[in-house]
Amino acid sequence: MNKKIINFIVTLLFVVLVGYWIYSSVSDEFMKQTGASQRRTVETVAAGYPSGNEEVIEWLKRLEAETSTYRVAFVPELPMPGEKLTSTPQGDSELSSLVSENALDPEFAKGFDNAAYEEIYKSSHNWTVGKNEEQALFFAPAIDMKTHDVEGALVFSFSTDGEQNFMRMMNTLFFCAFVLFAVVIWQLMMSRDPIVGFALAGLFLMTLIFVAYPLFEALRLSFLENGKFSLSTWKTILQSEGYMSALWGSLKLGCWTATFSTIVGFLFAFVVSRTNAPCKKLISTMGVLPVISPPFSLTLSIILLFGNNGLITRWLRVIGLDFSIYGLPGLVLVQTMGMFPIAFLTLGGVLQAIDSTFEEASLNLSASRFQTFSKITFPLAIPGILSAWLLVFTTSLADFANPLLLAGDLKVLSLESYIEVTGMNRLGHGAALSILLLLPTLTAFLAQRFWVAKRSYVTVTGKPSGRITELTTPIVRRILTGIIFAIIIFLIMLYGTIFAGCFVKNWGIDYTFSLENITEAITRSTDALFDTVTLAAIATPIAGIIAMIAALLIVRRKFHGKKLLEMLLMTPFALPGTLLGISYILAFNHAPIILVGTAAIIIINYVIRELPVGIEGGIASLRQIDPSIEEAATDLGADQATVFRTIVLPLVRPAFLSSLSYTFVRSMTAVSAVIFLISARWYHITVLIYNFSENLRFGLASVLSTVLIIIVFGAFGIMRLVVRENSNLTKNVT
Amino acid sequence: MASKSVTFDNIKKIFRDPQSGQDVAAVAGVSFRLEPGELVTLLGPSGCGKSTILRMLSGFEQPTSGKIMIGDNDVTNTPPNKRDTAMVFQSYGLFPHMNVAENVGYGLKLRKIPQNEIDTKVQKFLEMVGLGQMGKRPPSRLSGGQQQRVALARSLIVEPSVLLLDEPLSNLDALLREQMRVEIRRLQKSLGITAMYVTHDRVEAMSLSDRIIVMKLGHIIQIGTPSDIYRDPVDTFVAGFVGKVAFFPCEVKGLSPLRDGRNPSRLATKRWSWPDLSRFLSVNRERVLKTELLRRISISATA
Ligand SMILES: Nc1ncnc2c1ncn2[C@@H]1O[C@H](COP(=O)(O)OP(=O)(O)OP(=O)(O)O)[C@@H](O)[C@H]1O
Ligand SMILES: [Mg+2]
Repeated sequence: MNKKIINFIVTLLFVVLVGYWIYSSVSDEFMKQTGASQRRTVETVAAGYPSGNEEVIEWLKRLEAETSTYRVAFVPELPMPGEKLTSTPQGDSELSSLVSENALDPEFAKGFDNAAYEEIYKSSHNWTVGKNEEQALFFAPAIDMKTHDVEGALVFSFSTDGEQNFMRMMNTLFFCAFVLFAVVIWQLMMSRDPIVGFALAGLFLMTLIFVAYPLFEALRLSFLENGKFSLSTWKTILQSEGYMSALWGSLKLGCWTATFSTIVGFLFAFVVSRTNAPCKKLISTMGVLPVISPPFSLTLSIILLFGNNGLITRWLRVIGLDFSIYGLPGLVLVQTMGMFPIAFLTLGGVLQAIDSTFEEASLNLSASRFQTFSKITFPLAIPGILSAWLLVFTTSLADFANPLLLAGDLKVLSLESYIEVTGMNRLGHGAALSILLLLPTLTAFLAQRFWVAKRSYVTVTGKPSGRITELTTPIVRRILTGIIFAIIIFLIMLYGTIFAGCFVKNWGIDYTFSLENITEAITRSTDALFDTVTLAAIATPIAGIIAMIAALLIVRRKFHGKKLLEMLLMTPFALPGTLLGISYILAFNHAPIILVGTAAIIIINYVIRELPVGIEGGIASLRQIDPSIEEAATDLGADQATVFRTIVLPLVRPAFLSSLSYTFVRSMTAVSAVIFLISARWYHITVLIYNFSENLRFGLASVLSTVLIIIVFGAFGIMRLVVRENSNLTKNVT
Repeated sequence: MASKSVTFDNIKKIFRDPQSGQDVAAVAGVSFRLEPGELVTLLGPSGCGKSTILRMLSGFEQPTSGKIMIGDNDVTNTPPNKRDTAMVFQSYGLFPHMNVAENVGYGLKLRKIPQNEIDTKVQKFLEMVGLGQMGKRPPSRLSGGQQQRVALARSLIVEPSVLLLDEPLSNLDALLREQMRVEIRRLQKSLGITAMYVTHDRVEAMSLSDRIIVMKLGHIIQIGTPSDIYRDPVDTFVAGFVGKVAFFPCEVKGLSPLRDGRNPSRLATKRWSWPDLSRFLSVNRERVLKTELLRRISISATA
């Protein structure tokens, strides 16, 4: 072991030496080259020195106007060695004052001396000219063409910015190369399976650069003012009524949406799992469907129906009812329709897991159905209900697309931070606001994860009996089913409206049938659609593979910092998209990593955001697979990469596929983060939908929404088909 | 294939318990040597470190200290895929997404052998384990015993120097177990392969092994042939583990020399302390009665 460490250190020292040698020869060569080219410039310029007072002044002026690479000053009479200047320098004022101040400096004396002997001299160190500008100084003789007399000295100064930038780049480059080398050498020499080491190093690097670093940058910027530490951003925000009302707006919206969604979700779950209502399949399907509807689609149809020119608004106006859908009530309605599936899925699982035998026992003890519900079923479901509420609350707070179109006068944080960044160009405020949004989101998320989820009693009871205990009287059942079908019909109406919107000439004004919108939308969105699909298609396999690798390492390997890595990988799941988007533009628009405006920043953002879900799926699926299957492959001679390719990936295929389709769909329907990251070159179709809606081109927006809905449903459909084919395999694995 | 010896030199394996953070010595410094072509069984109660020894030999665990040799090569730091060992797992570890023939041929495929050669060799090995007709089936449609044979064929086909078997028969019913035991022994002998076998079934150990290593709490208590261990266990633990025993707690009052000359010096010169004597007496009933030692030693029962 010690011998190994010594070997490692020796190799590393060798790398450092070689690296330093390359570094110093490259930078020396660069310095020499710039020095030589500057000297040449000095030579040529000095050769053009004209004689005569007027001419010199004229010449100096011309030089100053012509070039910005150097400055010149002219010293008309060379001082005697050790004596002050006898004349005032002419030319560039800052340089002139530097010359007259430092005329006695040995470097200047040397310079004048050289000029007297018709030589060019470069000062051995840089000088500060004017305001904090490091400049290289050259001294050249001013020679009268006719008499060949030295009439004075020309002092040239060159900016050293280029060199400094070059050196900075070299430093970064060599530092990165050194770290990379150290990691690679360490892995190759120390570890028994370097592939795993590289994978781990890669994951750590990825999360540090693309999760931790942007968040840190956002946090840092919110504490900066003019490049210095300051609390002023936060003071402004916390004292401003406008920003605080946005915080309250977000919280209010979150509470209302969470409450309504939980009620609707519970209703759906209860009817499906505790009653003999008809059409349960339909109820279940419609209870999940909205969760995958693309952003803006529900809002769009609400506007089409209830907006200022909406179909239903008109009718209501006729009977004298006037209202505006823009604002809190409209948003709560849209969000509830879009988010109650989260509550339904959570509560459906919870109610199914509660053993019906409890309820049967209660009924047998001649408790009424209502008593059974209120004393048994409901209390048992309370942790699940809290959990559902918190989940919807987080989702509502982070929601960006719906408020964007429907907020009206209501201020919410996600929207405010977007306006600060794109409208006001106040990045610091935007960052601070999105961090402010993170506080309630993260609290609710953590509460759900670690407090409520741990308290659920449902798992304690044995196997679910599979039978259904009817907990409602026929009348109650009919009422509940009635409410549910009303909601379902409303949902179908919303989707139908979008579809109808495609074929109407000008919604709200002219309802004649027309295909114009479709042709126009398709011609105007081809590029954006192509971009969107391309970006999603690139991000999807990357996210899928990385997710499975990360899951494999987390489940099967012991390593230091596992908890940290897990946390970093999972963090983006709890982050509002606006925060992620803002922190990305903050972090990647300056050195050392500049990505703003590229496709890479969007792809990376997709990958980072969708990884957590893929990883969780991978972990759950790997936990079901006997580790000795992988060990058997290793034992037969497969290295880690081969095991991953030939054994792990085929075995976790269902999880892998669903992670793929999830990433694809989420990338196709992204808004909140991607709206900050798009550029003229790389556009996103959801942003286009938003632009169309903003310009009241609802027909075009409807067409694009329909296209997105078709793509999303298609992707999920294909995935389900493929996974079903694999289901006999999954059964065998466990 | 050339069979190789295996040497464990003062091997220790310490696990850190993730909850309490305490160190647990799963293997507390063991040394032994397997001769080429020998089948040695690791025998001991649950948790004594048998699997850990096997996993260190196959490379899945890295010893905390000590040296492992296969033949003349130090393999202590060699990763499992580069070691010349093949393991048969208790749960078989068959690849569920491949059929039987693909399972058996997996190791050959990794070695970049042409497909037609793989096919012939796979067929040969499947016939050797009596599954000649089953190549196209998925492993899930085989019985437990058949799956075990596939696992065995898959390990043997890569011609390892050392075959490792971790309780390979524990998932089978009693009858099948006996059958497979014979089969494994037959294959191991005919291929002349060095084998290490883990079990806590003493009948299995007795009937299968060239030698047995008895372990307890990470230590080796005794190494010997089955009959050595059966007849001359070093202590009550071994005695209790390998045979049906009755223990007679007793106290030594005095000694008289043996008439038939067996172990006279040991009995005569030693002052018998309680553990020694109990070790000597608490062997299985047949032996105690046969050697009639009880009559030569003046003892009185204390209980
Ligand atoms: N990965 C591990 N991490 C921590 N402790 C471990 C690990 N593997 C084994 N141990 C501990 O090491 C000891 C020996 O385990 P080992 O699996 O070798 O026992 P065994 O003799 O094979 O038992 P069995 O007959 O039940 O299979 C046990 O106390 C076990 O808890
Ligand atoms: Mg074991």
